Amino acid sequence: MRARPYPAVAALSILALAGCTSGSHTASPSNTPVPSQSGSAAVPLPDPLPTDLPVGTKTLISRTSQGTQTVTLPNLGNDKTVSVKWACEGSTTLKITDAGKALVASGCTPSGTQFPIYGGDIPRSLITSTTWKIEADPSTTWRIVIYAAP
Amino acid sequence: MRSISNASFRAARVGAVVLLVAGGAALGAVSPAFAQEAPQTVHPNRCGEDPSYSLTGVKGTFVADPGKRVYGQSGVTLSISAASGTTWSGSVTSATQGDINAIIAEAKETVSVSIGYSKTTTVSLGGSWQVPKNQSSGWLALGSEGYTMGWYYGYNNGNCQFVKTKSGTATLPAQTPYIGHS
Repeated sequence: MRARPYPAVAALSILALAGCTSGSHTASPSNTPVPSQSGSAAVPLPDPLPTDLPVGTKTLISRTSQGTQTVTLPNLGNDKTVSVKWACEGSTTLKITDAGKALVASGCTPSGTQFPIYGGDIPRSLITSTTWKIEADPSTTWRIVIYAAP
Repeated sequence: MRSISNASFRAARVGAVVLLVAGGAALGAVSPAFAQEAPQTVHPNRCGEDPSYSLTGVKGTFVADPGKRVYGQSGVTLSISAASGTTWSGSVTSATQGDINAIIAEAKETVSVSIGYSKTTTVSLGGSWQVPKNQSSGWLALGSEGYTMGWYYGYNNGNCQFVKTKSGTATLPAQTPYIGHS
């Protein structure tokens, strides 16, 4: 299928990711950039947490690690959507699975360039468990935040 | 310069063979083995000898860097954001770095001068897109308009037969970046 240009690809000001200015998050992660694994550390992994989240947004998971890891989400309550944002450094892929089923995935970027921030807003209807697996090559470093907006 | 030198060399060889064959016919002294070998070194059709790269089946396409693509299942709203200075690259299969340089040079000359192996954003880009219900999965990616093509490398042998020694495919970005999805 031929790709279509996304209509709203105006230059968004998404550089200012260093900080939670709204004060609405319950557990904002550290904004300290994470050095890359290569040693050259030309560009650190960015903080994937958006700065423009609405008041009442709950940060469920904020973690920096590498390789495959399991995360356990707290009680989701009445949240209708769970959002995931991440950045990763490596030469393969990162996949987030729920009970073995991939919810979202992305490629990862080798060091030496800017890292894109990927995201997925996952409807509650697609979530079957609160134990998710972040699957990546052992050499892949990632930074991920999972949150629920009101 | 190289083709002129080869043409001169070829003409000199043709002349030499003509003289020898003419002399042999006149004197009856040319061995059968030489008479059979000689035409293989002559290029009566003046076919090219120089090794060359060729491109086939060039088509316009969205070129996304695999490392700058996010996937999700139906119903998920995907997003991607890239800061200024983010690089995305194309791909060339079955190629050495020397092959890649030559293929890109050929593509610049015959397809578009804007083709390159990689491009870098000069602005921040971002977008989001919900995978529609009628798709089981979808993707969103940073990339640009570009081209996909086949490539091969080869040369003409002594019988003017083209001998292909390497081949593969190339997907190369050409224009300014945007977020594409499918």
